[in-house]
Amino acid sequence: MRDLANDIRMIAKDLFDQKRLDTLVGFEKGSAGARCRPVLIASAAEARSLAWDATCSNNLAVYLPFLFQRPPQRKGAEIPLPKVGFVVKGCDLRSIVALVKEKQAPRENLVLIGVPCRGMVDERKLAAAIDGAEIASLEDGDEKIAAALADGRSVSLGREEMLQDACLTCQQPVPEGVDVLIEGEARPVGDNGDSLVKSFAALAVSERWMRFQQEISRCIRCYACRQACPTCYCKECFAEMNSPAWIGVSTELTDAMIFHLIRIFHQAGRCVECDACMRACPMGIDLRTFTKKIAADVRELFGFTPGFDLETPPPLVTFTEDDSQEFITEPHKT
Amino acid sequence: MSMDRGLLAVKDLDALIQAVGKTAAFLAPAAMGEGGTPRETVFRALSSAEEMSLEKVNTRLSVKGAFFPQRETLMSFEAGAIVDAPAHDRPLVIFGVRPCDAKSLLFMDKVFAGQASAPGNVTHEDPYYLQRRKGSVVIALACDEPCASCFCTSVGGHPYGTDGADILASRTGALGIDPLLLEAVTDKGRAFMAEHAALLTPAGADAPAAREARAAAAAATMPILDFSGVKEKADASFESPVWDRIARICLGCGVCTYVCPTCHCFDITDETVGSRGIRIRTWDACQYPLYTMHASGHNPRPAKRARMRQRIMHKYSYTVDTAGMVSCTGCGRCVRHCPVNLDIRQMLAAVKNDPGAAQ
Repeated sequence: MRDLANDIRMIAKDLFDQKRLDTLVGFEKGSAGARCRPVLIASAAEARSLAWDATCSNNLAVYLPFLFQRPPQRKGAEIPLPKVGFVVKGCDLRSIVALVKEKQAPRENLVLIGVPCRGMVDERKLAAAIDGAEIASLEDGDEKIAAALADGRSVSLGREEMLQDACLTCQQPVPEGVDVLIEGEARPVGDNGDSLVKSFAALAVSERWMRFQQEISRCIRCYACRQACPTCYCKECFAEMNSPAWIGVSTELTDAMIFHLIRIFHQAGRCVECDACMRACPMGIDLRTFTKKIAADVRELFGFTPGFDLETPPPLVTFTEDDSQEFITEPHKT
Repeated sequence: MSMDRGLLAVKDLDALIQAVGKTAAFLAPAAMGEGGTPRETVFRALSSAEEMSLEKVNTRLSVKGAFFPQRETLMSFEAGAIVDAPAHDRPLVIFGVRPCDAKSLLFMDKVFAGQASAPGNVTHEDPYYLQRRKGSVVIALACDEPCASCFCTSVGGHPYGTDGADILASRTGALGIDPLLLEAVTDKGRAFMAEHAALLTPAGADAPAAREARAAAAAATMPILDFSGVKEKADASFESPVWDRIARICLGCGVCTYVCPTCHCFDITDETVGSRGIRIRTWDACQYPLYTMHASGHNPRPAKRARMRQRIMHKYSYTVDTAGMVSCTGCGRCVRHCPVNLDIRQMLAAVKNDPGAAQ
C-alpha cells in the first residue's frame, strides 16, 4: 500500500520551490485519538509536516472563502489574489468546484493536488468498536486498521466497518480535473446512499417530520454545522440577523428546526454530501438524512449533482424551459 | 446530625433518587435523548437509576447548563407590563459531576454569584443563576480513568479533587457493581448525607487510605504539563504572530465554547409579537466572527488570531487578575470535540515557546 503522505510532501515542496504557491491547505498529524487535522503551510520547509492517512476526513474546501476574502481593492492598485494549493479528495474538490462557480476564487489561483481515496474512518464508529478506549496510534492497511490502544492493547479492525457512511457510498473517490493527481488506490464507486434517502422518502410526511423534530431537539445552536460546511460562507448568516429577526436565536424547537431547514435548503445544488456538518455537530444530530434528501431532490428536479465539471452552471441560478413546474401545477404532490 | 463518610450500594442508588425526588430534582449523566450516539451523555433530570449512564468519558455538555441554561426566559412583557419569569424553586441535586466540572463551579460563582476576588472589582449577583445555585448539592464523582485529552492536574486540579463539590463519591471497586464511597466536603454535603443516612452503611477505617491510593494512581496517568510563565508570556505577546499560527485552522464554530464548563458569555434578545414578548438569555461565543461586531460595522476582533488570543488570554491571564484563578479546569472537552482537533495544550505550549514575542 503506497505511502501517499510522502508523495504529497514531495509535490508540496516542489510547488513552493517553484514559487507556485503562497499557501497550501493539507493535513498534519493531530493530537487527539491519533487523528490528522487540517494545516495551512506557507513554505517548502513546512511541507515536512504534511501527513495523510485514514483520518483525513475534514473537507478542506471550508478554508477557501477565508483565504480569498479581502476588503474592496483600490482600482489600479489591486493586490493580487493569493495562489493557494489544496490537497483534495473527491469531496473536497467538488466543494471547491462549487465555490469557484460562485466566484469565491479564480481557478487559475488554485493548485489542486488530487488524492484517490479509499475512504476515511468515522471517529464515532471507531469509538464504539473499541468500547470508548483511547487510541495511541492507528495504522492503515488494505483490509484492516490496526489500532494501538493507550492501555497497551492492540486491536485489528475491519477497515470497511470503520468508514464514514459518506465514504461507503461515495460515487467520486478519484478527484478529476486536478493539477497533480497522486498515484494511488481508490475505493470502488458506490451508490451515493440511495437507499437511505429512499427509505426516508418512503415514510409518511408526518413521520418524516417527527424524525426531523426528534433529531433537531438536541440542537444547541452552536452553528458548528454551518462553520464546518464549505458552502456556508455568508458574512452575515440569516440566523443571526436581528433586523429583521428571521428566527429566534435560542434552542426553542421551532427556531432550531427552521434554522436547519433553511440552512439545508440553502445548500441545494451546492452540498456535496460530505457529512462535514454531521461530524462537527457536538450533539450527534443525524444531519446526513436531511442533506442527502435535498441533494436527491435536486437530482430529481434538475438532473444535477455537484461534480468536478467547472462549466455546468449551478441549477438554482439558471433557468431552462424544461425545468419542473410541478410546484405550480401540482402543489400538493409530496 | 451530620455525617462525614458512608458507603452507598449500587442497589440503593435508585432509592436515593426516589428520596431526593420528593423535594428536589436529581440530575445525573444520561443518554442524550432519542437518537444521538451511544456513550455520549449530558446532565439530565432523572427519576430512576436505570436512566443514569456513567461513561468513562465525561458528559458532552458540562454541568454549567444546570445553573446557566442555554436558553433562559428572564421575563415576559405585554403592553408595557413586565412579569418576571416564574422562579425556579426545585432545589437541584447533581450527581456524577467530575472534579473538573465541580471546580468550574467555583469560577462560575465568581462570575454570577457575586464572588470576584480582585479588590475593587465590581461583583454581580445574577438572580437567575443564584436561584438554581442556592440550595444545590453537588455530588462529585472521582475520575479513575482520565482520558488522553484530560489535563486537570496541569491546571491545579485533580481527578479526585473536591473544589466545588459538596460530596465526593469514589469507587471502591468496579463502577456499577461495588459500592460508592461518599465523603462530605462541605456542611451542605454533610447535611445531605445525614438526611439520607438510612441508605448509607459505614465505611471501613481504611477507606480514606484506599481512596488516597486510587487518587494517586488516577493522577499518575496524566503527564503534568508545565504552563508556568504562560500568563506573563501571553501578556507580553499580544501582537506576536504566534496567534496567527495557532488559530489558522479554527472554523469559528463555537463548539469549544459551548462544551466548556467555564465559558459564560451570553446574548440577550427579545422575541416579540406586537406588544407581547419575552426576553431571553442564550449562550454566545467569542469565537464567532460576529461576536464583537459593532452596530457601526466596526469589528475590533475581525481576525481569527484576535478571537483565539481572546479565548486563551481570558482563561489563562485575565481571570487570574479578576478572579484569582485560571478559568480552565483541564476537562479536555474542547480538545475532544473540536472538529479540526485544535488542542489548547499545544496552543499554550506554542505561546510559551514563541521566540518572536512582543513586536
